[in-house]
Amino acid sequence: MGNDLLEVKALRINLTTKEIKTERIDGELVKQYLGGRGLASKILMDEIDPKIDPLSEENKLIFANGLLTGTAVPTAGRYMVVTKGPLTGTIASSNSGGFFGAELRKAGWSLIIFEGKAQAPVYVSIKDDEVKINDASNLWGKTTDIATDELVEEFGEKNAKVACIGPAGEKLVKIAAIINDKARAAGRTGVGAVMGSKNLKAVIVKGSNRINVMDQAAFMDAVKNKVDMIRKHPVTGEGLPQLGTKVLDSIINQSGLYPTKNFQFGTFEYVEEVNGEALVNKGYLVNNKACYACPIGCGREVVLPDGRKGEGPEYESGWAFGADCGVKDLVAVSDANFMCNELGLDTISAGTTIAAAMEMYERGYVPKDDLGNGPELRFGSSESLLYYLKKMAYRDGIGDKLAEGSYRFCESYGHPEYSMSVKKQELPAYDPRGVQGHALEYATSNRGGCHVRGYMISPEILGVPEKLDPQSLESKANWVKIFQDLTAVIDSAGLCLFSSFALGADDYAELINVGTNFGLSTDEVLKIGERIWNLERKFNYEAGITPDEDRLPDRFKEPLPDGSQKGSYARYEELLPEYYRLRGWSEDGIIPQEKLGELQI
Amino acid sequence: MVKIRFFTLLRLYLGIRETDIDIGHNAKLKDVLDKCEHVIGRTFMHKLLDSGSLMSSSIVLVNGKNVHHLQGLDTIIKDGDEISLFPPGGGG
Repeated sequence: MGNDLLEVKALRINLTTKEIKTERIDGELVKQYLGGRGLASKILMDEIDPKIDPLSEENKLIFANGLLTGTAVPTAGRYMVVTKGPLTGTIASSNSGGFFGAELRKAGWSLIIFEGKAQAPVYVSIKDDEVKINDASNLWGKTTDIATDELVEEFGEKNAKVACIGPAGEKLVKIAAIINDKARAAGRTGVGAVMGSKNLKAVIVKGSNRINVMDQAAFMDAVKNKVDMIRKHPVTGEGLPQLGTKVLDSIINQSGLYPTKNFQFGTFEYVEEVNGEALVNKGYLVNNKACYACPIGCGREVVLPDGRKGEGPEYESGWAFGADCGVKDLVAVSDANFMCNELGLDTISAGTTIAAAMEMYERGYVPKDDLGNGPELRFGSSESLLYYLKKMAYRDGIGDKLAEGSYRFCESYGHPEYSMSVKKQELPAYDPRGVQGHALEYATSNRGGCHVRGYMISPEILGVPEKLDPQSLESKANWVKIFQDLTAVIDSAGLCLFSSFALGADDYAELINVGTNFGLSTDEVLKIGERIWNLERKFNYEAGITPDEDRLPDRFKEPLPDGSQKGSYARYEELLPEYYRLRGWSEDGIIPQEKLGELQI
Repeated sequence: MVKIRFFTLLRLYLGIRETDIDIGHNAKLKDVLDKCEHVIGRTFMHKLLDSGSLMSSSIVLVNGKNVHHLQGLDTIIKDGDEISLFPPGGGG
């Protein structure tokens, strides 16, 4: 059996009526938006009012495979979850690797569109064309690892793949993740809370179809060529396989951009205790782990001294629980990571929210009484970190406020300025004061504070594809635009962003063309990315998110107090006018009708 | 005397965190690294260079400043400087 790459099919599951429909997506729409992030954003825009309450029945939750997900293309294992986000109020999209997406595609499905709300907890099972809504009352309340094991056993297919929420999603925690394959997360933007609001605990899938492409021989030649490029590149062929993403701890700390104690500082004095080298030298790292069709294998399999096993910590998670909370205990940092995977929390937002709470407490803005019988919320406290993460996931005590994310937490005590967030989503592990292009990327990201919508760290710090001066403003607005558009393409093709250390826009165009009959030039492929970027921006504007929110917290107007970038501050406001102009927007950052027409939005 | 610090894969490869090297007046970075290889008895420049040039993705910091924005391998190293070496790496 097989299904064609261009046969893009959707399951539409109404959880209120229990009706399950199948649809075939129009080919022209696929050519315009590819799949994944792009196609799902288009569907969301067409089908919901951007003003709705994200946790209401009116919101839709879309699982969307990229165009190439499930094929042999290197790193083609990504699926995207798209919805209106409860943390930001923006369009939310969060992608994940592992094996779930590819399995769903092999079952014949590129998308699942969830509508409505189940009356009681349910899970959806998919075995090729056999799709069922099942009672999940016995799974509700369980952590993701246990729920996954029980579902696989009940389903009777040991190789079935599961995406599910943990207690955090059930409790509508605004920074809840969807966890697939036990340790891969569609982590950001609170997509887990939307799944919880629909009483949808899990999706389990087993597929048995092959995916057919237009010219199999040419396709495999292109695949082999790209695998070789990835294997030969020093970043994807050596750095990432050997040290994983935690290769970055030392690089970013020495570069003075390693946010410490809620972004108060740019270096962490105990970095040597928690960096990637420490994970190896302490003997905790036991193996690499690769996602579907990935020749890089950046995942970490870790065993802690007491025998507990898990995946991670990755760079972002390790930083969020380490330097950002001032914690130097690598075991506690790893524990926090495992706990978030089990409870279904986004590690970046969870760590950064705890860090904000620690700063607020130390400054005297959070009364001790509000902690109940809990430990003091002080930087460096491993006990505090683990205690309040759990409180957050269950909305217990002060955890009910922490569950709202750092912005609403700080605002509830009258000091939102201590939330290190953009559009209410917590910032990741790079202080924007030392990287001017990356600061602009943070400010303009369509899903709020995020590093993977246009990873300017790559040219500004890592020298890929070329080395740019991180403090220079010259040409940065254009770099940001191109990176944002290209990233939208990669996300919509279903590929991992790490492939872009070795591959460029021409390579992605080739991979898209060889599997289809699209015949797109590289410029046309980038135009698809631009279309997606503008569509997301339009959604946000209609949701009430105005260009005034293209801004960073005021902390970043203050100079960095330490490290090699000491004295630097974020100058993104000087870049915004040029960025808006390059995007073809008004000087106020509004998309004019002519631009929407040009992009066929 | 300058301090040379090894990070990430270089640290794992060499098994050394850092070393101190005596340098002459007006020493260039390349000469300092050559001398470092001699002193520690191990080669590592091949992890940073491609055809004799510093790879754009190699990170060599002198007092925290990337030498790509100084004079590359010709950057003048002064007594008391700290050099940090990272072979290509990335993540997110």
